[in-house]
Amino acid sequence: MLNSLFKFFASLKLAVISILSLAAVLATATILESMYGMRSAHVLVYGTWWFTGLLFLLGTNVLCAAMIRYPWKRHQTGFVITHCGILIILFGSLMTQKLGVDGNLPIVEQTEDNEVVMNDLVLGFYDQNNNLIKEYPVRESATQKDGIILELDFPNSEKIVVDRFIPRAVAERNVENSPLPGVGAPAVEVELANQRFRMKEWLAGNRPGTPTEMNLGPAVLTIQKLWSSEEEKSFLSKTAGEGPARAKNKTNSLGTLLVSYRGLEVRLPVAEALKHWKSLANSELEVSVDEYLPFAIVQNNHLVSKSNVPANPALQISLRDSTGKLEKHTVFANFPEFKTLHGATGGNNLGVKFRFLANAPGPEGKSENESLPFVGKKRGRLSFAVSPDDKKLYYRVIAASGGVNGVGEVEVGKEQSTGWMDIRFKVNKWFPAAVQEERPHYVEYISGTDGNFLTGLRLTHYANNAGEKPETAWLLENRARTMNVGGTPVTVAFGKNRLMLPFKIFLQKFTMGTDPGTSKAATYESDVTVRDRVNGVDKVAKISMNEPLKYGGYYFYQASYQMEEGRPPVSVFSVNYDPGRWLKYLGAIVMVLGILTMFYMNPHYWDKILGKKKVST
Amino acid sequence: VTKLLLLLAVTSATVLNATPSVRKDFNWQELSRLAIQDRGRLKPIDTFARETVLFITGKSGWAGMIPIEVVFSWLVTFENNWENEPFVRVDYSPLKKLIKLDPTSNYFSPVELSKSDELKKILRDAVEKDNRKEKLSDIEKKAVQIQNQLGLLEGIVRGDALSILPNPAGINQNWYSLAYLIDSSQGQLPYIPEDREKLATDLKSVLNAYLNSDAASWNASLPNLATLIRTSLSHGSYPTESSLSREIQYNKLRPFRLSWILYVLAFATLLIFQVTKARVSQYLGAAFLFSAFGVHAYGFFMRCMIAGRPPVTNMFESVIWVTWGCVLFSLFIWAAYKNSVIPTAASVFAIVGLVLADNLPAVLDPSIQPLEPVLRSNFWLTIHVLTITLSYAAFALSLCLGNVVLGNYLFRTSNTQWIQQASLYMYRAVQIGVVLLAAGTILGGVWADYSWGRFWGWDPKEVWALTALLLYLAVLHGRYSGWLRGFGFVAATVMSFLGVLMAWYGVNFVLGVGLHSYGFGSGGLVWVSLYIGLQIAFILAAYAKNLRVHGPGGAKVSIFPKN
Repeated sequence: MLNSLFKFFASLKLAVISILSLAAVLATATILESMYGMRSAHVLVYGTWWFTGLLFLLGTNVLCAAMIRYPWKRHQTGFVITHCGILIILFGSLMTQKLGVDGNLPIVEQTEDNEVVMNDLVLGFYDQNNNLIKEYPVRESATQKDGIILELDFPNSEKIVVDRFIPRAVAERNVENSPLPGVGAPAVEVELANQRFRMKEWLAGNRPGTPTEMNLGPAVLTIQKLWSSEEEKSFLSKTAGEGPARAKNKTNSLGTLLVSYRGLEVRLPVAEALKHWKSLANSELEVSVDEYLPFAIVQNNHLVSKSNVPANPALQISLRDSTGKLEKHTVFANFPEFKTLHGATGGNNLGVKFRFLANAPGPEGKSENESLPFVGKKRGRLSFAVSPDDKKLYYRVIAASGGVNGVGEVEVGKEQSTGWMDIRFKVNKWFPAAVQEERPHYVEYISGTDGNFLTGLRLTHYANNAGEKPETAWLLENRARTMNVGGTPVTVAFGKNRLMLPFKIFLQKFTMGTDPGTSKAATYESDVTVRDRVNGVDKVAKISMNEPLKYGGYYFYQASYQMEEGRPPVSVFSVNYDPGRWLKYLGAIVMVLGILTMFYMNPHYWDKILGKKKVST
Repeated sequence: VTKLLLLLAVTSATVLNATPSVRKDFNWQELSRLAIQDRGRLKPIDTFARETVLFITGKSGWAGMIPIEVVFSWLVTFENNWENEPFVRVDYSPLKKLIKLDPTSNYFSPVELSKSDELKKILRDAVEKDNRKEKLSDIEKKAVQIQNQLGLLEGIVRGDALSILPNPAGINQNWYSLAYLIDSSQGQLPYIPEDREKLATDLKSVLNAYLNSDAASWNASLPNLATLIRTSLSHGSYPTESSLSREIQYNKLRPFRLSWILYVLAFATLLIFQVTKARVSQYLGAAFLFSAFGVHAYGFFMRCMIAGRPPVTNMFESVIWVTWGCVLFSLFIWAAYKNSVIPTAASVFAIVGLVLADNLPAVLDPSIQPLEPVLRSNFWLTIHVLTITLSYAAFALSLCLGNVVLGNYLFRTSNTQWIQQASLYMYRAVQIGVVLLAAGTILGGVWADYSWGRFWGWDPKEVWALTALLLYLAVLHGRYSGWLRGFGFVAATVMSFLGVLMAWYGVNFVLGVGLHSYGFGSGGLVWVSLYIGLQIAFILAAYAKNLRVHGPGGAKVSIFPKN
């Protein structure tokens, strides 16, 4: 029985069958990849247990085929060497798969980092102090999958269910009226049209104070909130100029803190309140900004600033009253919906709401949407503004030449002329204060693109009260949101798993060379310093295409980069740790030598040489 | 009137009288030997003009004018003579129908095309799709091509596609285009005022000579302008005379066209020998074959010298290399077995490959372009690509021989002796291929490890190289196991070439995904599918005949050396 099994695994026919089935599987996988992208091919084929099984079958076949012929005859030298080589390669690959690390490390210029982005997805839950409660791996699928993907139970039969996985998502912007007073920025849905085109777009920002700007076809659209009657007057004046929007205040460079308390609202320049107690008018309350974090991230359960790049501006705020009651708040400019109070125990908080209006560039929807026919032409400007009392929406049209074509109050649904290029505009809807939600929308089929889509999740939150309608929340990869679980805020973050290296890499400078006379990239180069505090190493190195950095068993390759107007460049390294590398090289050499021996050496070469020797001795 | 002309104060009356006709006795050589910076490379204007005219008109000249003359005429007399002239090639019928162009014509005027609102709409959709990272439809791709054709034309007319003014700061710095001569930009030219002045004067006399059809003054004034640009303006930052003339020579010689013609002659004479057994035709055939092979190699070498790297990065270059390798291996096996059917079969592949390369510039782009960053100055890249593609050459040889054997099964069925012999040659070609493909795939792993830190990443190109290898391995193991004998071996070997076809062509032209994206292209799918269909039909026909003549099991052929 065992013998016949051995024979079966050693048989040539099994070899032919397993080789052909592997070929068929591989062919199918590449077709799937062209339809659904690289990640899907991995999820459907290369990363599955049965694919590993198929390789394992092949390995067994190769091994048995060599073993069954033992003791080997001399003419089988090539055959045995070749099969040995294949086994070594397969074993090396297994080691890589099980023990290796393969991820990406993006570093912003002039910052250091050690956070490697891996390929697998995780869903993490954090408490209000940003301490990790628990992390769950998220199972991927190649197409959109509904059903219970993850079920997370909380006390009192409250639960959060991940019930949709979206493998390829584009963010769809959903703008709606702000549910909370003091939160949100003005938003307007504008339609522009003439005989040649018709376009519709939401114009909405994150910051009420600074105008949000967007290019729509031949026009620059802006929207802002007017805070005082002076601003209102200036906006509606018929004299040329850009309106009051551009006024920039140096002391205001960090942004504004909007404090709402007892039906009042105060705007505090952050720079003035930084490390200074400021009292709030008509109250006994005092507020101070303890820390300004331009690029807030959670590290080791603490909120720190990753760099001075204002990518995720946040403020840590202290609030006290005359009785000595002290509250700590954290407020994010980009995530106004986060609850700000730490350690709220209900009932005894001071009832103050904060909103941080950062002056830094935030993640706006579309900033640049150049349509071909208008390239190079100067654009006209259509500005909207919400009156201080939030009751009216005004418009102001400035022609491409710079003159004011018209100002007035907007009538919803009525087409109005801009007075240039025959373009009319119409406001379909507007909100004085709106919140935007990014809802992941499934992209079914891709082809020919780089396939760099984000993934998305749908979560349903079932409250303990059976009668209450479950709340649906959407999460796009690399985003977080706060949910109210059992009366306490819990932050749910979704994204790629991270690996912390035991040392950091500091990116001194990223340079991109171009082909002469073009803007086509020709070379990429990163000047970095390895900062290993444990071993006291400070090593300067240059990483360029095909010239990786090797440190601590890890290889760092120049993989790609991100360059955007007004932001420091980001260099992306591919980080690799591969304990099976040397085995794969060894196996490869052995295999090729084996094939050469098999095909090109006279099959009886060794017989002859060694046979003759026998005779001569 | 072109701004350039206005600036140089050439009177518009002269322009109006100028005709786009052939200028008699004009010496264009001096102009074509000047260098231009185009798409990241310095090349002679000769090359630029040939590529441009081919791209815009689909032809290698227009109305009797050579390419450089056409480009010059566009620059100078576009608005009077060309704007309404139908010369922009649009030959994709579905697009023509959609944008309401005359379906019977393949040529349209720039004005007609740029006025088309339908075209604009398609382009606007294409831009939006592109923003959303969606794949463009064939119609949109062709529309974008029209846009690029018109864009290039506009660039020439405005002068900013013509970067012929050297940058004295260094040969690889950005050069200056003729558009810099216009208005305020002139001040940005890093030349001393006298040179700038002289540039304007010289250019003006050249333009006037052209507009007045004055050959004598053209031939007299052009060298002045050329010398000024080459020496005074460049301060030594200029490509050498020899590198420019080498490329011009390459353009003129068209070595790959010459070599396919010679391969045709070789094939014909060797075929005559196969039929008549006349010794003289064998010698003649060998002579043609060796000269074709020599010219082929020379062309390849020239291209290496011009590009400064081995030509291994696009489909055109790999076709050139693989056809050459196929003939090379046929010479080896010919030398070993002394049967001239081997080079005869190989020359068919060389002819097909080179004719395609010579005549399908849209699919197989013959222009020399700079490398993608990841491919630069990399030893392993060159080695792994050359090794893998050489294995394709060996497999192609086995394919050609296989089809000859199949032909014998079909038409000379009783000829088992011969079939046996030819199958052995096939087997040798497969052996060469398997070693090269195994080694090349591994070298690819070495390169990937070296460049990306991954020995193996399941990238479609490497997966298909592996699949092709597995197919041939299955054939070899099938033969050892006794499943594949005689006909089976031949048929399976021929079919395995489909794996090579997929790895070589399919991944880049059909799947269009993965990291090897620098070789992507499109086109030819219909023809490749047609070939596959015919190949399968041919195998089935031969199989049926084999069974009918020799009964169940087919002809008894035991071809292989025992090992």
